[in-house]
Amino acid sequence: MEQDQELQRLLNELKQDTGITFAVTGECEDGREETIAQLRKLVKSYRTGNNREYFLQRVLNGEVVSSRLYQDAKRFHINAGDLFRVFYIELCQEYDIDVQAILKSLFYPQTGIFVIPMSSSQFVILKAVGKRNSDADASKIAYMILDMLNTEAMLDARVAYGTAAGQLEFLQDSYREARLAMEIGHIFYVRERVFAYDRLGIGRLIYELPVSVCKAYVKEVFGDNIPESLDLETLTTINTFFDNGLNISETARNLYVHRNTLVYRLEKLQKTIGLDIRNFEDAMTYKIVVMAVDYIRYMEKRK
Amino acid sequence: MASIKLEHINKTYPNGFQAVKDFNLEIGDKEFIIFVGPSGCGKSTTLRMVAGLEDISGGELKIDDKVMNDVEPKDRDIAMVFQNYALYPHMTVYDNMAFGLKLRKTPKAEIDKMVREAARILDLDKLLDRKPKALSGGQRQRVAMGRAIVRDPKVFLMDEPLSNLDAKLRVQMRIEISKIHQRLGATIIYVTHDQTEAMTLGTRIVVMKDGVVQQVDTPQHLYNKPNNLFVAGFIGSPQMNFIDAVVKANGKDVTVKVGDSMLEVPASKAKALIDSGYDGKTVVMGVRPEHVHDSQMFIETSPNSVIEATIRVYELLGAEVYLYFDYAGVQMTARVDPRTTAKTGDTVKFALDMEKTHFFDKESGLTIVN
Repeated sequence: MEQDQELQRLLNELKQDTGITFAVTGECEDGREETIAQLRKLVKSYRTGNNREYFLQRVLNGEVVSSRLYQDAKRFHINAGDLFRVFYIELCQEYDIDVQAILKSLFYPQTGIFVIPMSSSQFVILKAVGKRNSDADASKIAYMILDMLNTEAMLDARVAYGTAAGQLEFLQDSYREARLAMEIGHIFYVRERVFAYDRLGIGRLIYELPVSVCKAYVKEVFGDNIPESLDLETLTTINTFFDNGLNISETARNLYVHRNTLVYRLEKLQKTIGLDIRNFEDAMTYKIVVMAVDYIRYMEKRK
Repeated sequence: MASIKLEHINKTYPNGFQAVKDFNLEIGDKEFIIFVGPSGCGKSTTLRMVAGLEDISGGELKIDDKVMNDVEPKDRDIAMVFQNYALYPHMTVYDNMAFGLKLRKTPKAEIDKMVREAARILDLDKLLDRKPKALSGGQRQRVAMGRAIVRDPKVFLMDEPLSNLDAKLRVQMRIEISKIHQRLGATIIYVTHDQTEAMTLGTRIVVMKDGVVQQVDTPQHLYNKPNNLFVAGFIGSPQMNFIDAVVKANGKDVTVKVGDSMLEVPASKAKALIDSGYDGKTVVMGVRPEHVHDSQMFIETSPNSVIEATIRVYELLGAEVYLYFDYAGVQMTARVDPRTTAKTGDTVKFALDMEKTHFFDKESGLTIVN
């Protein structure tokens, strides 16, 4: 009885999906289970085979062979001649709203835009861009996506993007770049929400290093005594000093303190960490060693 | 609408960086509160914590006396308008405002009522059938605000919503936002780095620096009675002039040596300087550009507060002139009448209105006397 119902259900689904009426004949009991299994396979195959999102997921994951790539792209009306940029979106909170509808509506009716759910909390927007598409253009789009998710979906999110891919085979590389940018952003740029692969700076360099190499470097600079977390005033002073290219006057102006006050703070820091960040070499060392420490902590936490 | 309490709110990131430190504030119903400060001061982070888009590391956030720390953004009864908004290009104004409600399965009749009411408040009633490309910049901005209004929230959170607009449109939209606040009777928290925007919009302003609240006050008080050097320098355009001054007391009379000049300090301020033990010490004297006068009348009536300097730059703004000059190694600005005869290269006398000067402790930056 149950099997009959399941059989009928599957036949109905197939009719709905294909427009073709299927019928099963024969009375063999053993054959029923096998028939149901085959019908299930048929339904799944038809759905996934004719599903553009599923196709693009597989392209991004590098699961589509080159020989089928362009053929299937044509079938799904994806213009293989377009330059595409991959925007990878991670949602940071649970949600009960149609996020995909919001993302699609942002760009409709532009062509060459595809919104692909990669998991329940990860989406990819594949956007065809012009040859002159710059990083500034991509950044603008990324921030727009972020603000819309914040305000319309009321969700916290992060957006990362890779370099533009000129051929469909390179989409998986662009996707990998975007995911890498997201991970590096998580480690080194925790205050940010948008990450561009080709603006990861020294974070990408450190990410590529073995943890053992980073540990050896930290030991070389600080010995066994890694400084305790610095207070907010000191951290802000350091960051502002770096942002102003190690210029004392400009930094003092931006911090709204007297020049002498700034010098005092930097000298105090030198006594604490043994590095004079007014000196370029020491400033560079400080920057790198702090990032190495963040990277080591992240990798150890991941274990 | 709603009252909001932020009690000892802290935000510390996993790498130890503390973006917001011990933030305390009570916001009354219908207040228009501005968070202002330089880039990286923690104002957006604080707003995002109120929104629920950022976790609160320590302290409590209450909306209408209910603790909201662990409540999802969608359940906090808030609405947001952020800088990089976009309108749905294929939807009409009506549908743009209705879309969020539709996604939340709000009944059609209710959506219609909310959208039309928001459109009335925003003067968009006659534009409901238009698409975004047929709207002006100001109209689009209003539609973005309409998307927030239709949620009928207790609190509106706005993060630099005017930053992407050109200067002229920004001024126009400031007026619009002010009108909307009055019409809605809403509680609004507004973040901006622009002190002019802060001064013109807010009922109260929270000035932040390095994650710490510097002063919470009305625009007028912030301008006239800054708590410290930072607030004094940040609020007001052009910036307040700061110059080192050595305090010299002679009984109850106090003068300050500024460069080569001895300037007489009014009695009310003199007492504060003496009582706080600043005789013989160097303090920072602050004087706003509009209190640096080049007119003969001021110079004659204030002979004990005159300095002389050569004008480096003359800037005509139409209704006023800014004169830039150096004195005692510091660049200073005077905001004078456009009928001034002073020009670049002239050596002129300026009278400082000592009644309006401020004195700050040189080390701590705290105000000694306003």
